[in-house]
Amino acid sequence: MSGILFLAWRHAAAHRARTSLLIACVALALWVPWTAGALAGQYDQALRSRAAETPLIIGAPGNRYDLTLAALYFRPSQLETVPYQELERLQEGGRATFVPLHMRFTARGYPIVATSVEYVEFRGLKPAAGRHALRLGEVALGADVAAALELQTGDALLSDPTELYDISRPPALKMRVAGVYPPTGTPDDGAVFCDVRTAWVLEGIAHGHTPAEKIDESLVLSRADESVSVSGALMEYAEVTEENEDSFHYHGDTALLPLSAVLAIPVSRKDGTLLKSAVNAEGRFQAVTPTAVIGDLLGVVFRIKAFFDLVGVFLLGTTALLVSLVFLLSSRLRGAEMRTLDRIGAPRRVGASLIGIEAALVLMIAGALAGGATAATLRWLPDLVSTF
Amino acid sequence: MSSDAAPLPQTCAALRGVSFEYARAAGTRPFRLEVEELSLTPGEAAAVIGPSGSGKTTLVHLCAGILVPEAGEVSVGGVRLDRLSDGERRRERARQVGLVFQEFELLDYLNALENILVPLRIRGADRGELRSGRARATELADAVGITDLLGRLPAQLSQGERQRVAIARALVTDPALVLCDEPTGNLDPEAASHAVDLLLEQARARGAALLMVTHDHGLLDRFDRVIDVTTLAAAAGSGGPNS
Repeated sequence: MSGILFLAWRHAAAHRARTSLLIACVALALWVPWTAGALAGQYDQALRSRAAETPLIIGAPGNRYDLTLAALYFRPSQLETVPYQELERLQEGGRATFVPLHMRFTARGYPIVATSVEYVEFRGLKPAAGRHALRLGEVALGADVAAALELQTGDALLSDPTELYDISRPPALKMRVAGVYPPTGTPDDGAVFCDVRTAWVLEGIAHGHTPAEKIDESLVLSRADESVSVSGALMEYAEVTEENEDSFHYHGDTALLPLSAVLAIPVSRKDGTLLKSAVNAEGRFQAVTPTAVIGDLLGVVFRIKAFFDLVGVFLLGTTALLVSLVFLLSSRLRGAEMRTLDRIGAPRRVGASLIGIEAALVLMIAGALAGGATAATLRWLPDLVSTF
Repeated sequence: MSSDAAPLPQTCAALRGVSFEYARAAGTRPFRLEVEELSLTPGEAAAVIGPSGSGKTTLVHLCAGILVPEAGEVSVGGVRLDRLSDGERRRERARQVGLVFQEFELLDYLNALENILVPLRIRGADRGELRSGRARATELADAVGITDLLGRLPAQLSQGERQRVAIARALVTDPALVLCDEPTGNLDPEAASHAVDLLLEQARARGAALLMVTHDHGLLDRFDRVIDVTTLAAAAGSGGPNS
């Protein structure tokens, strides 16, 4: 058998161009469905696991897919807001721990997830360096953000201005990096976490400036008993420091401060069911179960995937037929060689053995290449889930 | 096939009472070859002549065990080929018989050395056999004058050089019988004469019997015996030199 293997190998090596082409065809035909299948599997697993870890999301009425994807994966969306007082009202019921989420802003392209310490506790995030972002103007970075922006504890990160030419909007806020979280393989790795009050500073609802009694008189337009009107030239702070932190304050009704969504972590399954039905019965807001929403979404995605699986099967089938045709024609062309080997005393069906071994060699090398390419694709392709 | 017959003499190849028949085109009589007795002793060289279609190649194929007779005995190196299974006959052929063809029939993707070693490869020779086979191949290449050509592919060799590679391939297993089917048909007269001399010299030097089909009557003097295939049924084995 080793002699026949040698002959098959030498024939394949002597016809390098043909063999390489065959290997490339088979490898490509294998790589496409293998990679698609592996990515779909990863995608499915990651989406479902994140959803399964999150019991309930409460948000403004509207598209439940947008609400779920924004709350779980920080996907940009135009969600209607939930006033902060709603969270406080829900908390009075005592059925769950409620976690505020605010996700309207970005910092160097990464979503700023303004929340409370309950979020990091719920997700099990423990800083690899520094600490949680507890104070106003502080941020804690997901592992991917820290790595991509080469930031560490003590560095500063600027928020992205939302309205570049609107001077009534607050300028970019310079935020201090309080800590960095370790990699988790979840969308948390690609987020910038801060306290929800910092998001309100970014919204322009809260700001800090020189105390009224210390304002330069040249900037004072008028003074009344209860108020001071000052010139627009009065500069608001673009950074929260220990010195100016106390000067930050809200204008308007603090109960109406906006949130993008509220995560609810029910005390029990029964509390979760009652909470969900109560919120949905009331109708002003909606409560959704992420597993159900993601299940619906993946149902659509995987119906499309089934179509691509079918395409992959046809692709493989077509390639197999073409490769068979090549070997069939090759066996015809090698008829004289087979007759010679047969007459010299080669084992019966030496031709079939030679062709079979050569085909097996091509398949093995193509399979190894396709496997390597699939692994490399999965390794180097940007994480589809975190960029969903 | 009679097991009661007297044992065949100490020969490299022997056929006795052989009968073989195969159908030709529809409407024609089937071809039939009969050999009463034919034996070749070690070092003996015989030329086979006869008109086209008289059964020369069939005789070679019977001697090689490629074809199996309907009746009679065929033995090579003392082994009764007609009693063996197909697989056993193939193994014996690879071990005991060297074949040289008119078209040389070298494998175009193997270099000259690898082509010479093909009979060892196909019979599944182990590393030790291959090592000694390689030494024998180098020695044969030297003997037939292709030492410098061992790394070349057949396409890079002349007709005469390819023929010499084919001769070395036929002898690399140290066979008991060398069968040649018109091996000089594609060579010019000078190259043909040289090739036959080479074959005779190498076969005799190794004690192998040589049976060569040829149409070139100018070469017949060099053989110990000439066999007219049309007379085999009478008494081919009884012929002496140049019968």
